[in-house]
Amino acid sequence: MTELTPTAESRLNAYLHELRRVLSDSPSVDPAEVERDVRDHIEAALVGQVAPVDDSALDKVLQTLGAPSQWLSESAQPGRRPLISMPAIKQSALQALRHLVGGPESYRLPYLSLLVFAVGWTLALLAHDAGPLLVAMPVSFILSRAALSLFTAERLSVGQKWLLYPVLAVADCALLVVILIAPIVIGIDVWERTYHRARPAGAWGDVGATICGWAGATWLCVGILFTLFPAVVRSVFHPFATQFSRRSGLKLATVGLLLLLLAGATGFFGRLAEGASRRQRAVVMGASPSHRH
Amino acid sequence: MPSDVLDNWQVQVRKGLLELCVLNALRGGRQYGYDIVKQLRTLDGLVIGEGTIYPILSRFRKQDLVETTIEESPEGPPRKYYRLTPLGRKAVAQMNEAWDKIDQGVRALRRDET
Repeated sequence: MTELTPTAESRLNAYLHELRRVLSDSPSVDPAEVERDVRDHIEAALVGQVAPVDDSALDKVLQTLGAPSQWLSESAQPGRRPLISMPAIKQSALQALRHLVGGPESYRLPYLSLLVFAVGWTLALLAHDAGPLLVAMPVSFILSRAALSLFTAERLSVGQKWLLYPVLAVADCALLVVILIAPIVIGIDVWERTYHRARPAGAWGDVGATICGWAGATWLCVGILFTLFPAVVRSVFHPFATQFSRRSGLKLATVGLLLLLLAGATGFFGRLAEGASRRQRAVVMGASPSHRH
Repeated sequence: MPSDVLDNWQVQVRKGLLELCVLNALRGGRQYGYDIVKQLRTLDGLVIGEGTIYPILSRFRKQDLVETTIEESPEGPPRKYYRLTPLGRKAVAQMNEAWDKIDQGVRALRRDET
């Protein structure tokens, strides 16, 4: 967007706020789409102006655009349509089908992605089997990402976002769980089967230290990787991680390090307490009458 | 005729005509939103608030009369282009036909007056 003076910026924000307010309840238009078009219009109309553009230049453009309250025809004004209308539902369903079959691509891919996602979940729930989901999730994820690549997130309409983002959100959450939680669970399981069964004494202290230790080690490693490759994180978790920076990775690594230290301290003091308890038992047993004989 | 009645009538006529003109502006091929505005700007008295065109385009897109594509622009950020769908082409042809009939009818009436 063309650079504006602070006054012009606040005037533009007020204008766009009014635009959103007027269009928000209108069922026939997409306010986000209109806002993007109006922004593009302003951008195009201000080409050639010396930056930062002041409020007088911006006002001229806004005047030619006119007040948003005058834009809607009476039939498109909010509050004139019933809440549930069967013809409208039928029309929406037909429109979705038309988009799915004949495009445009900006809608075909989001609809297809959501359809694959919904079918996968439905089959998985009906069959009590995760198999369909394991196929549907990656497919719908790839379709969603393809749609995002074709049409940048900033330019997607609200409708397209509703079609795309649930799939991406679920897939990203699953991926995050795999990266951040799964190593901890696997680590504890391995520890449980090997070390803990052979040595059940002091179990709770050991469990706490082990959880902290695995979580700390995992998050430290993941945090370091995230710090080294923030662009990869932004790309994998797009569009939810656009603000991700090296600092975010460092924060995760720091939490991991603190947990690792906590685990070390818990383990160390646990051993000390255990040693003291053993010595005390030995003293008590040594002092008991049965041992004197 | 009171001026408010005239104003109201002009607003109503303009809104209906504007939709017809937007669709006709797209008959020649895909157009950038701002270029549609510039094209319609030349029609004297038709476009009072240029922003009026964008809700119309949004509604047409929802009604499947137009579709959009994003294309790189040498002059700046990528641009959104509008073009008619097959349904839109059919609609504009029918609207033009209806408009021609109205226009002929009105002209005929006005001839009778003189």
